[in-house]
Amino acid sequence: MTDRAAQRPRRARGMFAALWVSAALFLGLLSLLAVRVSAGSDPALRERAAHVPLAPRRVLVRKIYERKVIVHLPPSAPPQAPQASQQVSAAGSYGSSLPITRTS
Amino acid sequence: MNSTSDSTFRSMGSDIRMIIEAPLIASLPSAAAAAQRERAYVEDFARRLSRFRQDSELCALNADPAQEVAASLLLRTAVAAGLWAAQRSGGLVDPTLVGEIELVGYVESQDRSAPASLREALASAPSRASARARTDARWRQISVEHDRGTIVRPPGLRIDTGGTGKGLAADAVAHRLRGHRRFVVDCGGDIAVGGIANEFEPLSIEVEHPLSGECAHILRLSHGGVATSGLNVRIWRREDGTFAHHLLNPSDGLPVWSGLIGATAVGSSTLEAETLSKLALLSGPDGAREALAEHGGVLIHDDGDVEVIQATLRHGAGARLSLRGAA
Repeated sequence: MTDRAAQRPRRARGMFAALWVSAALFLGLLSLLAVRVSAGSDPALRERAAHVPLAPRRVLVRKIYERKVIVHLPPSAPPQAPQASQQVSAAGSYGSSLPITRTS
Repeated sequence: MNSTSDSTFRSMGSDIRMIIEAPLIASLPSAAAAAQRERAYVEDFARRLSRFRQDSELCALNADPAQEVAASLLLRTAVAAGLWAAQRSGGLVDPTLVGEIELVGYVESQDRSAPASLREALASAPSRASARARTDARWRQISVEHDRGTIVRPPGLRIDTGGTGKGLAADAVAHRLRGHRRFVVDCGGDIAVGGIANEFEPLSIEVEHPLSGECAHILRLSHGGVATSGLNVRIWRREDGTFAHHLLNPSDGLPVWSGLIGATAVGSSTLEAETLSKLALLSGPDGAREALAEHGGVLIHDDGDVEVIQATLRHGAGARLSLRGAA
């Protein structure tokens, strides 16, 4: 009888043991999952259940009447090239006048 | 910082005004910082493309005896814009009229010169006629080779990017201001507007009357450009007593008296608006109505009458002009 022949039953026993342990673990986890699902705490649904249904969006419809008065003041002196200037104002309000398209 | 920057400075022979609202993205510079950055960009743009500065890239190109000349991306873009305008206008907005404009007296910058009286010029001007393109279409001999980084043209054929420069500059700055809530870039009356806020509340832009200086009309624009060409600023009296201005008839190289003294055009871009406004003024009233029909605009006739051209195309629905970045 060779050494290789003697090792065969030992290897078979190891394989059976691994199979039994795997099956036991699987059944154990399956049971745990079944208990949780039957109790209503399905882990797959937990995230979705946490969402609060969105309230319907309210849309406010209103008309904005805007009146613009443009006043042109006659120049009191010959026009001069403006000096470089920069001003910072609150958002949305243009410090001086509307943009003007003109010959340049 | 939730603020709006409104700054004005002098460059390109004109007043440059930039209104910039706060950025929508926190990582972008504030409105004030963006205004400083764009001012430097415009000044660099003007310095490199000036026809009046011998050290400019444009003058170096015009003086170069080679047929193919290496050129920066900015110069290539400016020349390409001039060629696009020539194509768009059927050759009426011609970037090769350098010798002709010098012959009629526009040799140096007129930034600080007082213009001659437009009323006097109109009274002594020859009979009205629309401009015509040159039959030889010299501008077709110019090509921009972006792949090789060069410009090809017959040596001696000088190019002037001034006719489209302000519109191109306004578009380039507008492109660089993407991400700001609202912006207005006004390069001497050639105006680019944009930003998400403008889509909800279009910007009002006044059209200045070239004779009275008063508001002739108000345009509302959500995005794109608007530009005005007119005879009232770059106009002078020559030594022989006749008047001249800077808008030339390409076919004979002489100032055009078309029956219009001002034309304002709306466009998908400011470059397009500038091209259309020049095309309209050079074409005379009938051609101008056709030129402005798509996007709309305003015509000012010799007698001061104001004619508003309604757009047949909803603005923004037209094809957008694609420009390579002019960094």
